[in-house]
Amino acid sequence: MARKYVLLVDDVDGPLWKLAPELKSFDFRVVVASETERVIAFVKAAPRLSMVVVNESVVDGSADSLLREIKALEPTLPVVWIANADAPSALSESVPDAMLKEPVSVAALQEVVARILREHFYPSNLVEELVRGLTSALQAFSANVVAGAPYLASSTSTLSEVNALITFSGHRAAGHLMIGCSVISGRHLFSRMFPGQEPSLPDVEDLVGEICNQALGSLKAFFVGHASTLDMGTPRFIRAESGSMRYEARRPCLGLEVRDGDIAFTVDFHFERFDPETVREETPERLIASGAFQVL
Amino acid sequence: MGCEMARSALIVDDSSTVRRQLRTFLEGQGFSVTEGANGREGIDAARGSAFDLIIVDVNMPVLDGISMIREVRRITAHQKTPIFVLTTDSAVSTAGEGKIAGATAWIVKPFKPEVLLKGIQKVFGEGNG
Repeated sequence: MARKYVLLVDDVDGPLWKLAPELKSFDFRVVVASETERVIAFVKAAPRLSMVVVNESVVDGSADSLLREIKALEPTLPVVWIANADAPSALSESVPDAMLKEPVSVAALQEVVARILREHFYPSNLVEELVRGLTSALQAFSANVVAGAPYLASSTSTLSEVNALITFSGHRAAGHLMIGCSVISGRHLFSRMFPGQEPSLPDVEDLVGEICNQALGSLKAFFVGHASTLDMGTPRFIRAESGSMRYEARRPCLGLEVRDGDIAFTVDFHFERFDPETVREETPERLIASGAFQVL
Repeated sequence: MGCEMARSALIVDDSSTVRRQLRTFLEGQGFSVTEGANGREGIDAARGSAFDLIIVDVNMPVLDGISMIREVRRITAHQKTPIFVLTTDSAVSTAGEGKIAGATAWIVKPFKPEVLLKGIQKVFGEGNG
Protein backbone atom coordinates (compact mmCIF):
# COMPACT_ATOMS: atom_id res chain seq x y z
CA MET A 1 0.00 0.00 0.00
CA ALA A 2 1.32 3.43 -0.89
CA ARG A 3 2.42 5.44 2.10
CA LYS A 4 1.14 8.81 3.17
CA TYR A 5 3.20 11.95 2.65
CA VAL A 6 4.04 15.23 4.32
CA LEU A 7 5.43 17.93 2.07
CA LEU A 8 7.95 20.34 3.60
CA VAL A 9 8.36 23.55 1.60
CA ASP A 10 11.91 24.43 2.51
CA ASP A 11 15.50 24.06 1.37
CA VAL A 12 16.79 20.50 1.60
CA ASP A 13 18.95 21.48 4.59
CA GLY A 14 16.39 23.96 5.98
CA PRO A 15 15.03 24.01 9.54
CA LEU A 16 11.87 22.07 8.69
CA TRP A 17 13.94 18.96 8.03
CA LYS A 18 14.16 18.61 11.82
CA LEU A 19 10.52 17.45 11.67
CA ALA A 20 11.42 14.48 9.52
CA PRO A 21 12.33 11.92 12.24
CA GLU A 22 9.03 12.41 14.08
CA LEU A 23 6.99 12.33 10.88
CA LYS A 24 8.77 9.15 9.81
CA SER A 25 7.94 7.61 13.18
CA PHE A 26 4.26 8.09 12.24
CA ASP A 27 4.98 6.26 8.97
CA PHE A 28 4.91 9.36 6.80
CA ARG A 29 7.16 9.71 3.83
CA VAL A 30 8.70 13.17 3.93
CA VAL A 31 9.23 15.14 0.73
CA VAL A 32 11.05 18.47 0.52
CA ALA A 33 10.48 21.03 -2.24
CA SER A 34 11.27 24.73 -2.34
CA GLU A 35 10.14 25.92 -5.77
CA THR A 36 6.48 26.91 -6.01
CA GLU A 37 6.08 25.08 -9.29
CA ARG A 38 7.29 21.79 -7.79
CA VAL A 39 5.16 22.27 -4.68
CA ILE A 40 1.99 22.69 -6.75
CA ALA A 41 2.91 19.78 -9.00
CA PHE A 42 3.34 17.55 -5.95
CA VAL A 43 0.01 18.63 -4.41
CA LYS A 44 -1.65 17.76 -7.72
CA ALA A 45 0.11 14.42 -8.04
CA ALA A 46 0.04 12.94 -4.52
CA PRO A 47 -3.41 11.69 -3.51
CA ARG A 48 -2.20 10.63 -0.07
CA LEU A 49 -0.61 13.94 0.85
CA SER A 50 -1.55 14.56 4.50
CA MET A 51 -0.02 17.96 5.25
CA VAL A 52 2.10 20.80 3.89
CA VAL A 53 4.48 22.73 6.14
CA VAL A 54 5.78 25.95 4.57
CA ASN A 55 8.88 27.90 5.54
CA GLU A 56 7.83 31.30 4.23
CA SER A 57 11.41 32.47 3.77
CA VAL A 58 11.96 30.12 0.82
CA VAL A 59 8.72 30.89 -1.02
CA ASP A 60 9.50 32.35 -4.44
CA GLY A 61 6.75 34.63 -5.66
CA SER A 62 3.51 35.40 -3.84
CA ALA A 63 2.92 33.56 -0.57
CA ASP A 64 -0.80 34.31 -0.83
CA SER A 65 -1.10 32.78 -4.27
CA LEU A 66 0.83 29.66 -3.19
CA LEU A 67 -1.47 29.04 -0.23
CA ARG A 68 -4.56 29.91 -2.27
CA GLU A 69 -3.54 27.47 -5.00
CA ILE A 70 -2.87 24.65 -2.53
CA LYS A 71 -6.26 25.20 -0.87
CA ALA A 72 -8.00 25.40 -4.24
CA LEU A 73 -6.53 22.02 -5.19
CA GLU A 74 -7.08 20.35 -1.80
CA PRO A 75 -9.45 22.34 0.45
CA THR A 76 -9.13 19.95 3.41
CA LEU A 77 -5.33 19.57 3.20
CA PRO A 78 -3.84 21.12 6.36
CA VAL A 79 -1.16 23.77 5.82
CA VAL A 80 1.17 24.91 8.62
CA TRP A 81 2.92 28.19 7.88
CA ILE A 82 6.21 29.34 9.42
CA ALA A 83 6.39 33.13 9.02
CA ASN A 84 9.60 35.17 8.93
CA ALA A 85 10.92 36.49 12.21
CA ASP A 86 11.22 40.21 11.72
CA ALA A 87 8.88 41.10 8.88
CA PRO A 88 5.09 40.89 8.84
CA SER A 89 3.90 37.67 7.25
CA ALA A 90 3.68 37.70 3.48
CA LEU A 91 0.16 36.31 3.85
CA SER A 92 -2.42 39.05 3.71
CA GLU A 93 -5.42 37.31 2.14
CA SER A 94 -5.11 33.60 2.87
CA VAL A 95 -5.28 31.82 6.23
CA PRO A 96 -3.33 28.64 6.93
CA ASP A 97 -4.49 26.01 9.42
CA ALA A 98 -1.73 27.07 11.82
CA MET A 99 0.88 29.81 11.77
CA LEU A 100 4.09 30.04 13.77
CA LYS A 101 6.65 32.82 13.71
CA GLU A 102 10.40 32.29 13.55
CA PRO A 103 12.30 31.50 15.66
CA VAL A 104 10.35 28.30 16.29
CA SER A 105 11.67 25.55 18.56
CA VAL A 106 11.59 22.02 17.19
CA ALA A 107 9.38 21.00 20.11
CA ALA A 108 6.82 23.74 19.38
CA LEU A 109 6.79 22.87 15.70
CA GLN A 110 6.38 19.16 16.43
CA GLU A 111 3.51 19.91 18.83
CA VAL A 112 1.63 22.00 16.26
CA VAL A 113 2.22 19.54 13.43
CA ALA A 114 1.08 16.60 15.57
CA ARG A 115 -2.05 18.49 16.69
CA ILE A 116 -3.02 19.52 13.16
CA LEU A 117 -2.37 16.02 11.81
CA ARG A 118 -4.40 14.48 14.61
CA GLU A 119 -7.30 16.82 13.81
CA HIS A 120 -6.94 16.00 10.12
CA PHE A 121 -7.14 12.23 10.62
CA TYR A 122 -9.33 12.13 13.74
CA PRO A 123 -11.68 15.16 14.00
CA SER A 124 -12.07 16.57 17.51
CA ASN A 125 -15.81 15.98 17.92
CA LEU A 126 -15.40 12.34 16.95
CA VAL A 127 -12.46 11.88 19.35
CA GLU A 128 -14.41 13.58 22.14
CA GLU A 129 -17.25 11.11 21.60
CA LEU A 130 -14.85 8.18 21.66
CA VAL A 131 -13.27 9.38 24.92
CA ARG A 132 -16.70 10.09 26.42
CA GLY A 133 -17.94 6.62 25.45
CA LEU A 134 -14.84 4.96 26.82
CA THR A 135 -14.91 6.75 30.16
CA SER A 136 -18.67 6.18 30.44
CA ALA A 137 -18.20 2.45 29.79
CA LEU A 138 -15.38 2.25 32.32
CA GLN A 139 -17.21 4.33 34.93
CA ALA A 140 -19.85 1.62 35.04
CA PHE A 141 -17.08 -0.62 36.37
CA SER A 142 -14.61 1.79 37.94
CA ALA A 143 -15.70 5.09 39.48
CA ASN A 144 -12.68 7.39 39.23
CA VAL A 145 -11.58 6.98 35.65
CA VAL A 146 -9.39 9.68 34.14
CA ALA A 147 -8.57 9.77 30.44
CA GLY A 148 -5.30 11.26 29.27
CA ALA A 149 -4.98 13.45 26.18
CA PRO A 150 -5.36 11.59 22.89
CA TYR A 151 -2.26 11.56 20.74
CA LEU A 152 -1.26 10.54 17.27
CA ALA A 153 0.70 7.30 17.24
CA SER A 154 2.47 5.31 14.59
CA SER A 155 0.84 2.41 12.79
CA THR A 156 2.54 -0.01 15.15
CA SER A 157 0.73 -0.76 18.40
CA THR A 158 2.49 -2.04 21.45
CA LEU A 159 0.42 -4.89 22.77
CA SER A 160 -0.49 -5.32 26.41
CA GLU A 161 -0.77 -8.69 28.15
CA VAL A 162 -4.52 -8.74 27.48
CA ASN A 163 -5.97 -7.07 24.38
CA ALA A 164 -9.48 -6.95 22.97
CA LEU A 165 -9.99 -5.76 19.42
CA ILE A 166 -13.25 -5.01 17.62
CA THR A 167 -13.34 -4.13 13.95
CA PHE A 168 -16.03 -1.93 12.43
CA SER A 169 -17.05 -0.94 8.95
CA GLY A 170 -19.62 1.23 7.25
CA HIS A 171 -19.93 3.07 3.98
CA ARG A 172 -18.02 6.06 5.40
CA ALA A 173 -15.52 4.48 7.76
CA ALA A 174 -13.73 1.28 8.67
CA GLY A 175 -11.15 0.46 11.29
CA HIS A 176 -10.73 -0.99 14.71
CA LEU A 177 -10.69 -0.17 18.40
CA MET A 178 -8.28 -2.09 20.60
CA ILE A 179 -8.11 -1.86 24.38
CA GLY A 180 -5.32 -3.45 26.34
CA CYS A 181 -4.22 -3.84 29.94
CA SER A 182 -2.02 -5.93 32.17
CA VAL A 183 -3.49 -9.06 33.73
CA ILE A 184 -3.11 -7.38 37.14
CA SER A 185 -5.08 -4.29 36.04
CA GLY A 186 -7.81 -6.48 34.59
CA ARG A 187 -8.02 -8.56 37.77
CA HIS A 188 -8.22 -5.44 39.95
CA LEU A 189 -11.09 -4.11 37.88
CA PHE A 190 -12.88 -7.46 37.93
CA SER A 191 -12.51 -7.65 41.73
CA ARG A 192 -14.10 -4.22 42.10
CA MET A 193 -17.07 -5.34 40.04
CA PHE A 194 -17.47 -8.78 41.55
CA PRO A 195 -16.02 -8.74 45.06
CA GLY A 196 -14.84 -12.10 46.32
CA GLN A 197 -14.72 -13.73 42.89
CA GLU A 198 -11.38 -14.81 41.41
CA PRO A 199 -11.28 -14.16 37.65
CA SER A 200 -9.73 -16.51 35.14
CA LEU A 201 -7.77 -15.06 32.21
CA PRO A 202 -10.79 -15.51 29.88
CA ASP A 203 -12.88 -13.59 32.46
CA VAL A 204 -10.39 -10.71 32.28
CA GLU A 205 -10.38 -10.85 28.48
CA ASP A 206 -14.17 -10.78 28.35
CA LEU A 207 -14.27 -7.78 30.67
CA VAL A 208 -11.84 -5.84 28.46
CA GLY A 209 -13.81 -6.94 25.39
CA GLU A 210 -17.07 -5.64 26.88
CA ILE A 211 -15.49 -2.26 27.69
CA CYS A 212 -14.27 -2.12 24.08
CA ASN A 213 -17.76 -3.08 22.88
CA GLN A 214 -19.47 -0.36 24.91
CA ALA A 215 -16.94 2.33 23.92
CA LEU A 216 -17.43 1.48 20.27
CA GLY A 217 -21.19 1.62 20.79
CA SER A 218 -20.83 5.34 21.56
CA LEU A 219 -18.88 5.82 18.37
CA LYS A 220 -21.57 3.98 16.44
CA ALA A 221 -24.15 6.36 17.93
CA PHE A 222 -22.00 9.27 16.76
CA PHE A 223 -22.08 7.92 13.22
CA VAL A 224 -25.83 7.35 13.35
CA GLY A 225 -26.16 10.97 14.50
CA HIS A 226 -24.15 12.03 11.46
CA ALA A 227 -26.11 10.38 8.68
CA SER A 228 -24.07 7.20 8.62
CA THR A 229 -23.91 3.71 10.07
CA LEU A 230 -21.30 1.32 11.38
CA ASP A 231 -21.45 -2.44 11.66
CA MET A 232 -19.48 -3.69 14.63
CA GLY A 233 -17.85 -7.08 14.97
CA THR A 234 -17.57 -9.00 18.22
CA PRO A 235 -14.37 -8.87 20.33
CA ARG A 236 -11.28 -10.79 19.34
CA PHE A 237 -8.59 -11.35 21.92
CA ILE A 238 -4.83 -11.17 21.65
CA ARG A 239 -2.54 -12.35 24.43
CA ALA A 240 1.00 -10.98 24.39
CA GLU A 241 3.63 -10.90 27.10
CA SER A 242 5.42 -8.28 25.07
CA GLY A 243 5.02 -7.60 21.41
CA SER A 244 3.59 -5.29 18.85
CA MET A 245 1.10 -5.31 16.04
CA ARG A 246 1.75 -3.46 12.83
CA TYR A 247 -0.79 -2.65 10.13
CA GLU A 248 -0.07 -1.35 6.69
CA ALA A 249 -1.97 1.85 7.01
CA ARG A 250 -2.69 5.08 5.25
CA ARG A 251 -3.38 6.75 8.54
CA PRO A 252 -1.58 6.89 11.86
CA CYS A 253 -3.38 5.57 14.94
CA LEU A 254 -4.93 7.54 17.75
CA GLY A 255 -3.57 6.56 21.14
CA LEU A 256 -5.02 7.16 24.58
CA GLU A 257 -4.41 6.06 28.13
CA VAL A 258 -7.13 5.68 30.74
CA ARG A 259 -6.36 5.22 34.39
CA ASP A 260 -8.07 4.74 37.73
CA GLY A 261 -5.43 4.46 40.43
CA ASP A 262 -3.63 1.17 39.92
CA ILE A 263 -5.86 0.21 36.97
CA ALA A 264 -4.56 1.35 33.57
CA PHE A 265 -5.80 0.75 30.03
CA THR A 266 -4.23 1.60 26.71
CA VAL A 267 -6.48 2.46 23.80
CA ASP A 268 -5.57 2.18 20.16
CA PHE A 269 -8.05 3.54 17.64
CA HIS A 270 -7.46 3.27 13.94
CA PHE A 271 -9.38 4.37 10.88
CA GLU A 272 -8.40 2.30 7.89
CA ARG A 273 -10.63 4.64 5.93
CA PHE A 274 -12.77 7.59 6.91
CA ASP A 275 -14.76 10.18 5.01
CA PRO A 276 -14.27 13.50 6.85
CA GLU A 277 -17.59 14.76 5.46
CA THR A 278 -19.21 12.47 8.05
CA VAL A 279 -18.54 14.83 10.94
CA ARG A 280 -20.09 17.77 9.14
CA GLU A 281 -23.46 16.18 8.39
CA GLU A 282 -25.66 15.99 11.44
CA THR A 283 -28.94 14.20 10.98
CA PRO A 284 -32.23 14.27 12.88
CA GLU A 285 -31.99 10.48 13.45
CA ARG A 286 -33.09 9.96 17.03
CA LEU A 287 -31.02 8.03 19.52
CA ILE A 288 -32.04 6.29 22.73
CA ALA A 289 -30.05 7.72 25.62
CA SER A 290 -27.42 5.50 27.17
CA GLY A 291 -28.75 3.74 30.27
CA ALA A 292 -32.40 4.74 29.69
CA PHE A 293 -35.23 2.18 29.79
CA GLN A 294 -37.31 2.67 26.64
CA VAL A 295 -40.59 0.80 26.37
CA LEU A 296 -41.20 -0.11 22.72
CA MET B 1 -39.80 -7.36 44.78
CA GLY B 2 -41.70 -9.33 47.36
CA CYS B 3 -42.29 -12.46 45.21
CA GLU B 4 -43.63 -15.56 46.88
CA MET B 5 -42.25 -17.88 44.18
CA ALA B 6 -38.94 -17.33 42.45
CA ARG B 7 -39.37 -15.86 39.00
CA SER B 8 -37.19 -17.09 36.24
CA ALA B 9 -35.11 -15.08 33.80
CA LEU B 10 -33.20 -16.00 30.66
CA ILE B 11 -30.20 -13.76 29.89
CA VAL B 12 -28.55 -14.03 26.49
CA ASP B 13 -25.33 -12.13 25.84
CA ASP B 14 -22.01 -13.20 24.34
CA SER B 15 -20.18 -11.35 27.12
CA SER B 16 -19.73 -13.43 30.27
CA THR B 17 -19.12 -10.13 32.11
CA VAL B 18 -22.59 -8.84 31.23
CA ARG B 19 -24.17 -12.21 32.04
CA ARG B 20 -22.41 -12.19 35.41
CA GLN B 21 -23.58 -8.61 36.10
CA LEU B 22 -27.16 -9.48 35.20
CA ARG B 23 -27.13 -12.76 37.12
CA THR B 24 -25.81 -11.04 40.27
CA PHE B 25 -28.47 -8.35 39.97
CA LEU B 26 -31.40 -10.61 39.08
CA GLU B 27 -30.62 -13.24 41.71
CA GLY B 28 -30.56 -10.38 44.21
CA GLN B 29 -34.12 -9.60 43.08
CA GLY B 30 -35.24 -13.18 43.62
CA PHE B 31 -34.98 -14.49 40.06
CA SER B 32 -33.57 -17.85 39.13
CA VAL B 33 -31.33 -17.31 36.11
CA THR B 34 -30.53 -19.31 32.97
CA GLU B 35 -27.81 -18.09 30.59
CA GLY B 36 -27.18 -18.27 26.87
CA ALA B 37 -24.14 -16.97 24.98
CA ASN B 38 -25.83 -16.37 21.61
CA GLY B 39 -29.23 -16.25 19.97
CA ARG B 40 -29.24 -19.97 19.12
CA GLU B 41 -28.61 -20.93 22.76
CA GLY B 42 -31.33 -18.46 23.74
CA ILE B 43 -33.90 -20.13 21.45
CA ASP B 44 -32.94 -23.59 22.70
CA ALA B 45 -33.37 -22.47 26.33
CA ALA B 46 -36.71 -20.78 25.55
CA ARG B 47 -38.01 -23.96 23.87
CA GLY B 48 -37.09 -25.99 26.96
CA SER B 49 -38.52 -23.73 29.66
CA ALA B 50 -41.03 -20.95 30.22
CA PHE B 51 -39.34 -17.82 31.59
CA ASP B 52 -40.92 -14.81 33.26
CA LEU B 53 -38.37 -12.40 31.75
CA ILE B 54 -35.87 -12.53 28.88
CA ILE B 55 -32.96 -10.10 28.51
CA VAL B 56 -31.04 -10.30 25.26
CA ASP B 57 -28.15 -8.53 23.51
CA VAL B 58 -28.35 -7.70 19.77
CA ASN B 59 -24.85 -8.12 18.35
CA MET B 60 -23.81 -11.72 19.03
CA PRO B 61 -22.06 -14.48 17.12
CA VAL B 62 -23.99 -17.46 15.68
CA LEU B 63 -27.40 -15.71 15.85
CA ASP B 64 -28.22 -12.07 16.66
CA GLY B 65 -30.70 -10.95 19.28
CA ILE B 66 -33.37 -9.58 16.92
CA SER B 67 -33.54 -12.91 15.05
CA MET B 68 -33.71 -14.73 18.37
CA ILE B 69 -36.66 -12.59 19.54
CA ARG B 70 -38.51 -13.30 16.29
CA GLU B 71 -38.11 -17.07 16.87
CA VAL B 72 -38.90 -16.91 20.58
CA ARG B 73 -42.19 -15.11 19.90
CA ARG B 74 -43.29 -18.14 17.87
CA ILE B 75 -43.04 -20.30 20.99
CA THR B 76 -46.48 -20.39 22.59
CA ALA B 77 -45.14 -20.08 26.13
CA HIS B 78 -43.26 -16.89 25.22
CA GLN B 79 -45.77 -14.96 23.18
CA LYS B 80 -46.31 -12.53 26.08
CA THR B 81 -43.05 -12.85 28.00
CA PRO B 82 -41.39 -9.45 28.57
CA ILE B 83 -38.24 -9.33 26.43
CA PHE B 84 -35.74 -6.56 27.18
CA VAL B 85 -33.02 -5.77 24.68
CA LEU B 86 -29.75 -4.73 26.36
CA THR B 87 -27.38 -3.46 23.70
CA THR B 88 -24.82 -0.84 22.66
CA ASP B 89 -27.03 0.02 19.67
CA SER B 90 -28.85 3.28 20.39
CA ALA B 91 -30.45 3.98 16.99
CA VAL B 92 -34.22 4.40 17.19
CA SER B 93 -34.43 2.69 13.80
CA THR B 94 -32.78 -0.50 15.19
CA ALA B 95 -35.06 -0.37 18.23
CA GLY B 96 -37.94 -0.21 15.72
CA GLU B 97 -36.70 -3.48 14.20
CA GLY B 98 -36.65 -4.90 17.72
CA LYS B 99 -40.22 -3.80 18.30
CA ILE B 100 -41.39 -5.44 15.07
CA ALA B 101 -39.59 -8.64 16.12
CA GLY B 102 -41.44 -8.58 19.44
CA ALA B 103 -39.15 -6.83 21.95
CA THR B 104 -40.83 -5.17 24.92
CA ALA B 105 -38.19 -2.61 25.92
CA TRP B 106 -34.75 -1.31 24.89
CA ILE B 107 -31.85 -0.43 27.18
CA VAL B 108 -28.57 1.03 25.89
CA LYS B 109 -25.38 -0.16 27.62
CA PRO B 110 -23.84 0.73 29.97
CA PHE B 111 -26.88 0.09 32.16
CA LYS B 112 -27.57 1.07 35.73
CA PRO B 113 -29.12 -1.66 37.94
CA GLU B 114 -31.66 0.80 39.38
CA VAL B 115 -32.91 1.61 35.87
CA LEU B 116 -33.29 -2.08 35.09
CA LEU B 117 -35.10 -2.61 38.38
CA LYS B 118 -37.59 0.17 37.57
CA GLY B 119 -38.12 -1.37 34.16
CA ILE B 120 -38.82 -4.77 35.68
CA GLN B 121 -41.23 -3.25 38.18
CA LYS B 122 -42.94 -1.40 35.37
CA VAL B 123 -43.61 -4.46 33.19
CA PHE B 124 -44.62 -6.58 36.17
CA GLY B 125 -46.88 -3.80 37.47
CA GLU B 126 -45.05 -3.48 40.80
CA GLY B 127 -43.45 -0.73 42.93
CA ASN B 128 -43.73 2.97 42.38
CA GLY B 129 -41.62 3.13 39.22
